[in-house]
Amino acid sequence: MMIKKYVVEHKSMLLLAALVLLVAFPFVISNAYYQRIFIMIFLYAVLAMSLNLITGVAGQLALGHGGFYCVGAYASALLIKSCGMPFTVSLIGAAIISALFGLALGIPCLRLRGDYLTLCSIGFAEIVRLVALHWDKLTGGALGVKNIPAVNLFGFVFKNNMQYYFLFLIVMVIVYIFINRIISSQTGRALISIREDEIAASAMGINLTYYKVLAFVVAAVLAGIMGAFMAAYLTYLNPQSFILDESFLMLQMIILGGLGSNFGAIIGAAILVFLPEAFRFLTDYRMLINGFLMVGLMAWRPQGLFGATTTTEAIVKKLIPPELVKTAESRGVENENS
Amino acid sequence: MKILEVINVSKHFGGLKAVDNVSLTVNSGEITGIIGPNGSGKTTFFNTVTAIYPLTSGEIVFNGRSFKNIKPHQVTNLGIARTFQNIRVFPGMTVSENVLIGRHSRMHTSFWGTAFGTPRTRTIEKENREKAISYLEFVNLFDKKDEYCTNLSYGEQRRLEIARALACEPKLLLLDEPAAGMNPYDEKQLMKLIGKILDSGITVMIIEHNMKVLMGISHHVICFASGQKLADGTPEDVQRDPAVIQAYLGTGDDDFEEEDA
Ligand SMILES: Nc1ncnc2c1ncn2[C@@H]1O[C@H](COP(=O)(O)OP(=O)(O)OP(=O)(O)O)[C@@H](O)[C@H]1O
Ligand SMILES: [Mg+2]
Repeated sequence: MMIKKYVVEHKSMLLLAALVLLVAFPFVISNAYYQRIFIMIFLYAVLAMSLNLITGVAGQLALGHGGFYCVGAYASALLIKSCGMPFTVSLIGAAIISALFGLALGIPCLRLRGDYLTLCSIGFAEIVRLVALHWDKLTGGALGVKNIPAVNLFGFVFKNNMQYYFLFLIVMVIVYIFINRIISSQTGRALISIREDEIAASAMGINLTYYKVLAFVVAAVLAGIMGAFMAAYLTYLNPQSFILDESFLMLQMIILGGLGSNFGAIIGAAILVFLPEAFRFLTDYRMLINGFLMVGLMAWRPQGLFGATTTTEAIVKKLIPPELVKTAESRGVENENS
Repeated sequence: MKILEVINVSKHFGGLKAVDNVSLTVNSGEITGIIGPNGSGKTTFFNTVTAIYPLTSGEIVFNGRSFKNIKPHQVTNLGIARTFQNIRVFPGMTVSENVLIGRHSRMHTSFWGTAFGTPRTRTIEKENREKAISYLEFVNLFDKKDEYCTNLSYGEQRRLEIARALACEPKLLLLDEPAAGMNPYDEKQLMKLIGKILDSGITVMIIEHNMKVLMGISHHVICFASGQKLADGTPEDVQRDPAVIQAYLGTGDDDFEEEDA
């Protein structure tokens, strides 16, 4: 509580200080292993922030974000390898293809409520992965895609971890600012109102279809772009990198950081990327740490580190079948009237 | 001049005829009151007018335009706003943000404009924040503008819903039991407020169980019973209608008698 209050009050100063530390970090510590951890943190921070736009801000509990990430990674890698496109073009291609997948998932999901949407999005992520695994001719099947050229932005070729560190850091900062702007704008308010109460939102003139699809498309594009960067950074890709655990991990990050909090998404990503590394000595048991962390969080701070209780309540409420919500509400109204 | 015309409208839930073949007209510049026992279809009627439920049959014409295949947000854009019987404020937002949501259909920023924070977007944002505050002043909630609405009393939340609906700049305002849960003092303030809304040129339809509130301010009263229109006329006529008295006595709802006594 006190930490949160302090952070809220000194937000811009703390952010600036954190940024200065992050910029200085690779100059102080040249160890490639640590730089790599930070690159992963920046990568997952963007994935978590984009998922937060769908789930935390618009309140649609989607569990297939890894699907968009996978689509972007393969789209970019294959556009480079099979079509011989330069990286910048393949990045735009990956963004467009991810946007189309966002549309393709977003539109049917609008007809689904709560828990059905969640199941449908899990199915989507699995289908994407299975297609990548079995469509050998296009994707290289289980062997994946190898020797993907490095990131090349307008002639500048990224060579070492340090350069990638700054690339991913800059992307993260841009996405953070971009999503913050969205959240505090008319668009963001519309998304939040959909999370809080869809009927009231539509009665206030908000086009539910448009805004839900918008959230899906923007988040899909961001995840797709990160897929493209990640593929070029690692230089290889295989379907194993996109198992459902990835999508679950992204959800865990935003729950830990606090649903609806853009800053929380970054912190959630940092903690959950860092923890398994810190507990490497536990070998196979280190994943247990994640489990304990989440159980502890649910017991002591169900709204996450930087989230609001009302946000979590609103999102959970969407998972309850409407009949049950309705009876509960009508009971409430009767009590109030009597 | 009629602003709303409802022609043979029905809304059935399976076998349940929540609204059954109702026709009525609402004149602009008037307050139209709706009464009826619990479960008589009043709220469902509002939900059909605002397109939250699609019609089973019939037609709704607003300002000369027929509502066919219309979505709730389009109804708002065309000039109908409402409040809810079971209060639906946005709990995760402050009071002024709630009203700002009401401005949605009247403010036009673009997605990219907000992403890049263009000056035009900022001007629109600022203007509408000021407008939102003015609606809060109108319903006497200015002091609470930065509170979260969960901290508001029941009556204040009802007034917030009214401010939010007014922020949509409606031509027709639908109020669903706005006085429910209010004390007599708040009720009086509410009646004054509804008078002010009417004076500002907005037509009002109001569902209310409290006869004192309703009969005192309505120009025209409609009584529902079991989904059908039972009576339609001046407050005096409806109050004396034997069928209306029967409907209230028949369901054991004692609101009506209390007020007569
Ligand atoms: N979504 C729904 N699904 C099924 N039945 C419904 C639905 N909404 C309302 N009903 C039923 O329709 C009938 C009319 O309900 P409605 O809420 O319109 O009554 P009301 O006149 O507003 O009552 P009250 O004075 O208690 O608010 C009731 O029998 C109710 O149970
Ligand atoms: Mg009702």
